[in-house]
Amino acid sequence: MAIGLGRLFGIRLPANFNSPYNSLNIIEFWRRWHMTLSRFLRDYIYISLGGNRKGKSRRYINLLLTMLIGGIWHGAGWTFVLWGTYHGILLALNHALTGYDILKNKVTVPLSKTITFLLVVFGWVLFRAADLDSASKMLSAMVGFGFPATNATTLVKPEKWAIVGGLLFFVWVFPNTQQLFKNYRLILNDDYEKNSINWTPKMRWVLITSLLLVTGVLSLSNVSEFLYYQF
Amino acid sequence: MDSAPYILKKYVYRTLGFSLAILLVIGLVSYYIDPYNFFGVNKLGVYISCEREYKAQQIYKYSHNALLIGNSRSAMINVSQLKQHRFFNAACGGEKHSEIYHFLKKHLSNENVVIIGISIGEMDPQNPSKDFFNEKKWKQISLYLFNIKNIEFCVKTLAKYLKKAPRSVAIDGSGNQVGWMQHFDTENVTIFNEKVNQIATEWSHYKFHENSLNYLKKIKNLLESRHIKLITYIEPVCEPIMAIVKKSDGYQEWQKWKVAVKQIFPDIVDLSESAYGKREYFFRIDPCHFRSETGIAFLNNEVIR
Repeated sequence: MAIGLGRLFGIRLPANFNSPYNSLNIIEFWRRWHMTLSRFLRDYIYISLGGNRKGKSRRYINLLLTMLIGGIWHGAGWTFVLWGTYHGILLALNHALTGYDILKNKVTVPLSKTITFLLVVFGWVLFRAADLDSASKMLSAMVGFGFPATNATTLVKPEKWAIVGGLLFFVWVFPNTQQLFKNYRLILNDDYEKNSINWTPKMRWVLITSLLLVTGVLSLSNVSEFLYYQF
Repeated sequence: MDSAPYILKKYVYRTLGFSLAILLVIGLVSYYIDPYNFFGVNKLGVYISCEREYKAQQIYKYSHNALLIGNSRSAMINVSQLKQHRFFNAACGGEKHSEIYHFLKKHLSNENVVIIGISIGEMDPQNPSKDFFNEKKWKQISLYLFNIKNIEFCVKTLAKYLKKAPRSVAIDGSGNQVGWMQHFDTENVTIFNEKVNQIATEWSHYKFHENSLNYLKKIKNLLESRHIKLITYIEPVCEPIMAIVKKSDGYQEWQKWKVAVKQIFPDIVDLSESAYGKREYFFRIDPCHFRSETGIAFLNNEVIR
């Protein structure tokens, strides 16, 4: 919305998200999620701390510190401290394992994306929870502990998995808006990969856009707060 | 060859036109099926949980001279089996005193009797419910007609109508307890005990607040001003829950609540510790809700007079 509104006034804004759930690993996730903040943290904290110039151990410490500060940047609370540390550990582990790349094929790519997605989702519990107690309850419930059987089964309803699976498939297979509108140069520093599906003012896009618009109008009564707006 | 601005303009107009056409069709279908009976034009029956919308319309269609109102416990009672009067069941799940007041104020016509089921300890919420039963506003109407959930309910209504499935609410307002039985009437002692402990623990910490019964007073005044006979009763509490709460401070608080309620309704029938609280009179894994048959029995034997 911000990009579109800016474009109406002739301002080209940088993209902030680039299909983060399409990431093969945590390093890639942070290149696709909240990209402006990630760049700020990299340029002004990670590199200022020495980056990767002072040996492996120091690099991992710098990563941890950078993500810890990134966590606190999101809010002054223990949940954010833990969330930042969690991502710092994941990033350090990811960098440590970088030399052991596995072959990319039809099995390993979806598997890598799924593992990355699940790791990020676990982190979101810390990010979203009101306090550590609720976070630990939710995390326990996610792995089948801590709640009575009836509630636990509600959390893992097959249709919920089907919805998540369907949405993930959509994210993995179809291009995002930046890619769809690549020919129209919506984004500042647009260097996204080419895509076979492009938006054109043709009838098929009239139908697709109309359906999206109608779905939006029909969902006006189901407004859920956009949690990330404050960041 | 059309210019780029013209092509884009055409694209925008087409998109808006096409979207409006889809919305119009959806609105017409929503109105025709009217799954909540929101407009009172539902012809296929109500198969989803929408007691407030349905009952606010149906009360005018169903010929009756008495009303039963309260929360979900009363909503499930099959009022067609109650004696003396022809009842309409106006009770809705989670209904607060403020909602009962608004419903009665708006929808009472020439009933002879109103019976109100009150749960033990029930108080006005800190923020009383808005007058849900007031006139429909444009916002409500448009949200109803153009709502993604409503489309789902339209499809469900149509499917259940074709399957001849039982309606969620009968034409006299009585709730259909078949669905409830499917979820809460399988024998499972562990879950039952778990729920008993959960509810009893919560009620053991119950605190009665003065001035939390204002809407009950308003209801009494309203019915007196309309010369309609009012009968009230305190619902039975499941015995295993009562046994735990009795040992706690919550029980003393309940007594304070009872004294305050009896000041408003001196003739209230107190069934909270009656024989109707036996475990078998409640759903097998829901110690909060008694069965419709239990309700019919205590209303016919103890309440209606």
